[in-house]
Amino acid sequence: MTRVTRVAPMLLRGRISAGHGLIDLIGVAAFTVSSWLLFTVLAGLNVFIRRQDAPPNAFVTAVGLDPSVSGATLLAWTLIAACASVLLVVPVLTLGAAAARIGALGRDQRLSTLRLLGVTGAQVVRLSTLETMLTALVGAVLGLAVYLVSLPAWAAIRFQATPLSAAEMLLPIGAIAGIIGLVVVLAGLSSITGLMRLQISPLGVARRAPRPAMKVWRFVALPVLVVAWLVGAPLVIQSQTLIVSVTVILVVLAVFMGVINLFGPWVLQLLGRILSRSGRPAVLLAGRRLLADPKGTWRSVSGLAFVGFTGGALTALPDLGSAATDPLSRILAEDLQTGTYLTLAIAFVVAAASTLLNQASAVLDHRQELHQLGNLGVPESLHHRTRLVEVVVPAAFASLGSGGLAVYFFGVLQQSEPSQFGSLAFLGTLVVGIALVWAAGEACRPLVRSAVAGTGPRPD
Amino acid sequence: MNELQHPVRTDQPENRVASTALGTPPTGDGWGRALSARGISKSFGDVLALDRVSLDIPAGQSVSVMGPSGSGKSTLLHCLAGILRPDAGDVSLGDEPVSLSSDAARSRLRLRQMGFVFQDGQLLPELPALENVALPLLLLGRPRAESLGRAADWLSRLGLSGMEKRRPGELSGGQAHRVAIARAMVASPAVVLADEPTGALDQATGAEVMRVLTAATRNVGASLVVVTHDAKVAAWCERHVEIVDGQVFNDAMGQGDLR
Repeated sequence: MTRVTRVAPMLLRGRISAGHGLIDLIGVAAFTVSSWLLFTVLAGLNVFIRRQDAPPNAFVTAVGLDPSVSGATLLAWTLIAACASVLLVVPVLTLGAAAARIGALGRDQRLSTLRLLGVTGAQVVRLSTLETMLTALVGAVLGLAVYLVSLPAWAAIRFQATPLSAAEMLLPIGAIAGIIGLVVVLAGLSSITGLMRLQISPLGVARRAPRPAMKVWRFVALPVLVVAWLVGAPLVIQSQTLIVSVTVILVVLAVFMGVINLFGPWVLQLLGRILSRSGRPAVLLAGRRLLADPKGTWRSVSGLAFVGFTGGALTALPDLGSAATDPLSRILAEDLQTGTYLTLAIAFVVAAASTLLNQASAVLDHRQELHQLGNLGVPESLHHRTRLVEVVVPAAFASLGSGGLAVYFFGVLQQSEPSQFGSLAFLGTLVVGIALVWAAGEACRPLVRSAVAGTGPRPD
Repeated sequence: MNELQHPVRTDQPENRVASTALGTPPTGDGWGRALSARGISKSFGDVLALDRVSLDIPAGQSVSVMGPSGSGKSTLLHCLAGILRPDAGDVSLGDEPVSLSSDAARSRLRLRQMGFVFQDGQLLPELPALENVALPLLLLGRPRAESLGRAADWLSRLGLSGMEKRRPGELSGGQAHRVAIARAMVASPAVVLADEPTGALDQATGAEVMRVLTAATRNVGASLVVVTHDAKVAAWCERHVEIVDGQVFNDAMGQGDLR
């Protein structure tokens, strides 16, 4: 252990015991949520992989297949579960990364003080990264505890005509250790990238020059999408077997996701430009904040976009379960519905946690400015209105926009049978999810109030 | 006026390094070194903050740097400390270059040879007073027990016994500044640099802080550079340098009559 890293545990312990490390506590909470969800999502995927080898009796009885044949059929579930896991793992890890970066960014004063005392720039990065990794470790262990405690609750969810059991959802020890390690290492890497955006001098911390605006070339992703769709759509329609059909849909979805990921931040930037031309102060401020970091905003809502798109596609796709006489298709359709709602719920929890993390740290970062604005007579309600626009617009854009895009594209496949997957129910779920994200933003209201009044807690 | 140099003093009174209640002679390798700036200039964009400033500060001397806002006095302090690198000229501590070395080397030099007392104290809010003071020693790789022991010793010398476990938020302004002084002194620096050290304090507390600061540095033979706009604060120092428009406008020995 080097001289500098030897000091890290002392600083972390000091902050926690002093109750000063509000950002650390928020960070620990974010790591707890992200680790819990990561354990859960990967445990879910593990269930489908294991069921391939040992198909559940209820499923075999229902579809009436030979167990060896069922195993091959169950590959479709595994592929879909893998796809859903990728959709969720990215935003879940992004949440952890955001916690790491915010932890690193929120310690301006102490970082510059350490530089003043003679700690080099590289040592400050190492020290701060180690602290963030310790925070991540604490969060990951708490997340593990929540995951273990919540295991019995999964019995309420049925896949393949069989409830999930706590034993099935329990990951092997090696996987648990691996996930904790992954969370901690990624937190460290995110902390380093966050700190690289800062110029930490003994006289203070300044952000490096803002990144240049995203170019319009991202827009060319759209023609790529159209071409991909022209190729993919006939394959989806023509495919006869379940596995081929599911595989093609997954590949097409993956292409869509990639394009949405390119296109989304650029559209958010555009949205920011439009909002920032408003004459209403709250909208103008929200637009400017959106414009300042459209990629960061996109990262916190990208999960909603992906899941919204998948859900939208499922509402428009031909109904796999329409043939009521075919139990296999009926079970798959039911599971798709359950899986989509589950994925959507997790995506909204991630988005709400990201919103809470971003908003709380923004308030703590700007508490002095908020207090000064309050002294100047700026009403507190302006901050609340700004937050409303800042939080709800990207979440609504990501989920409803991508959902609508999916309905539009996949609508061409709509056959005479209406989907069991209710469009209204799905829309309702999206609205509830957006409300959840809004509520997460509103949870910062007391923090804003105390910052404006000048009684807010210090982040460091 | 920047050519008006104060001669390097060689008549360091022996009693200034005698062991007293406020300090013992330093054992660090920086003790007895003179801080020297040779023709340093520094610009920020089009603004010339320092214009060919030269200054020699002998070991153990206390110097006030005064001047109106924007005169360049803080920039001078930051260049002397190696926080900023001058565009031209060089700064050295003894025979060790300050300004020419890398940022990492300058950081190490600050850690080993310099102590700082700034206006807002610059204490880490999460650490109790004892650990705040011990921090430079821990960063230097000293054992924890030894570091905490020396920190407790310095807190005691500065009249803060019993406050070791208090965090900065639980201390008065004057007490927090004394903790900052203890931290600046604990690693036996060759030079202590103070930027408006009493700026946030009332007059009586500010005077008390200056009394403690000058006594502590004097008794360990460390140089002291105090940037201030307050003549009453400057009066605690032996020598007074006035900076105007980035140049040394005046450089004179004072009475140090408040010491």
